[in-house]
Amino acid sequence: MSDPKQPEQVFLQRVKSTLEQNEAQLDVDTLRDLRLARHKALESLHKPRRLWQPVALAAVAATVAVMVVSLQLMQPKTPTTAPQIEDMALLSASDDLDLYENLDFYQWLELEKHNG
Amino acid sequence: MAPHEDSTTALDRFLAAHERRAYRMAYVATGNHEDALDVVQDAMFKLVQRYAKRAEGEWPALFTRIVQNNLADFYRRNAVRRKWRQWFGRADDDDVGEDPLEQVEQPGTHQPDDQLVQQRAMQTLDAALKKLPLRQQQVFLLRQWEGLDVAATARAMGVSEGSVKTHYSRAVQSLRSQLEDHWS
Repeated sequence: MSDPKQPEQVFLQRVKSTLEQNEAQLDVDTLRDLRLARHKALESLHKPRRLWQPVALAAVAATVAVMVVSLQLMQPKTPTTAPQIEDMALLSASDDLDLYENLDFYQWLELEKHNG
Repeated sequence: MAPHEDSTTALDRFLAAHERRAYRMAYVATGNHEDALDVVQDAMFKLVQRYAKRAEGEWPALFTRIVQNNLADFYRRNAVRRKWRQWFGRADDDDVGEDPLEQVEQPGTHQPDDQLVQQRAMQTLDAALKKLPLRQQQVFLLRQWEGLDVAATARAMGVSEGSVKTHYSRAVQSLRSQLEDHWS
């Protein structure tokens, strides 16, 4: 009885050998490009790492933050539209409202007292 | 010899031994020379700059992982680009076209010699691999070509071992059904 896995193994073996032959037959231009890419990558190993870059970025970010905060603080304060404390006290005193509503009458009454 | 010269020589030797296969894998995934070269070059830079000081024995797994990550990134970027094109009503040239297997020369159109037969086999295999979803493609190539076992493939791709088994099985099934007629 034949192994049912055998056709699959034969197929996979053929795939593998085809891939390997394909790899071995890369064209000259591709091989040159790969070699150049490798050399560039290896050159980067000897280049001094730009340690100043993160420091410079942090400095720029800090400067921008300081400027934004300064501008905020330097802006003139706009008058608040919210009622002041004394206004609030006046508005909340509902018991004296009739005095203000009849102010003219009380002034006339006072004058009459003096004259009378 | 200075220590850095030692590591440069070792890295050069390592990359020279692995760059072709990495390129071929990237080419199958990206479908063009420029993108495949970008993927490999970026992987080389990352390996050199981040892992040069690691033990030489760790480089193969690290390099494989970087290449696979770069390919996944490439696919994500392309998916976003494709969506933008769709939103703006532009057809994606990459998606439009004939079935790649249909574009491969059919047997009998020329008198084949060994080289032509081999070339045709490569073309059909490339076309069939390109039709696989990225995960299946990656799993299949890592298992079958790189010879990684299930656990190593899972580590290289950052997926579970169960996922590797599923993708591999589907890839083999799909490739067999695609190539059966062409390779018989």
